[in-house]
Amino acid sequence: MTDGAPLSWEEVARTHGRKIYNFAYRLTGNPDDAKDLAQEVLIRVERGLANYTPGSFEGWLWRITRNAFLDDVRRKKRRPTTALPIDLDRTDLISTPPPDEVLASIRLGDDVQKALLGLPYDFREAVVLCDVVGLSYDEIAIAVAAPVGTVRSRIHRGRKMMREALT
Amino acid sequence: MNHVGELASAYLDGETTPKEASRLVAHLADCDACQREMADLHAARSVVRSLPVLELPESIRVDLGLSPDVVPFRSRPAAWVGTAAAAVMIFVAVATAAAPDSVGLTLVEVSAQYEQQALVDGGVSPVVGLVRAGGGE
Ligand SMILES: [Zn+2]
Repeated sequence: MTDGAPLSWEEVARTHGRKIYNFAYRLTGNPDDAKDLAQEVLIRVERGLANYTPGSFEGWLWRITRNAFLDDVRRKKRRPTTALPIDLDRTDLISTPPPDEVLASIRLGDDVQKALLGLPYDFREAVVLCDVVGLSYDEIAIAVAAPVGTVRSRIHRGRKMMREALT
Repeated sequence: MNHVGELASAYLDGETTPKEASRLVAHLADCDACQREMADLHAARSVVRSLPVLELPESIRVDLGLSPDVVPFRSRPAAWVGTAAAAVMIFVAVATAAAPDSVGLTLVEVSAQYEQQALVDGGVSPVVGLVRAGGGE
């Protein structure tokens, strides 16, 4: 996406809605919370687009997303880490590989999701923005309002924690 | 230079300067510990990148009043989804062979399994250079 290009809200929803939902899901581990959050983010994006000034669109969008998540956590006075759902909705999977592979990926995915939820928030957020959303370090720095060096450190330490949790 | 540390993750993400990258590759060629560290970090990175991509629930589209024609969530391929490069498999294989007693092997194996259906790619191609330099091939 070209930074600064005129954006319609529906265009943003279409191109980024799924990413926002996946970010929310991996951060919370809970489909209900993820859905509420994704919806709240899209509403905030609709309101905010009028005031969007050309710059890093990704940084802007993910800052909104992150702030919505943190506001939600504060409002509901719950810990960012919530219980993992017992059953993943398999119809939510985009691709439909053979059943054995689907089951294997869900089983392994559960372990990875649990490990993510075990990370302190700052590290989980950095890892998810990098490895689930696919942002650059510069974009993550804007989104989380931290220096790039801090982002680099959080991603690195987050991955080390993931590795320890999964070994 | 000292051990690679944070540079390792940044390298895997393609977030190092050319100078940092060449220093890292040179160090890895002579340091087994950092080669193992690199393999572990790569595995941790890969398993997260290989998590299944979930569709935006239809109910969100409906609740927000988005037209299914304008916003065909389900029918569009994910532009942000790619496939893992063969280089990753080479890297994992070399890393495994170089460190047969590494405690990270289980994770590396899981990672390799994930790569079969990897959904997200990025910053992977520099690993080819790493393997050639670090593996002494
Ligand atoms: Zn070293």
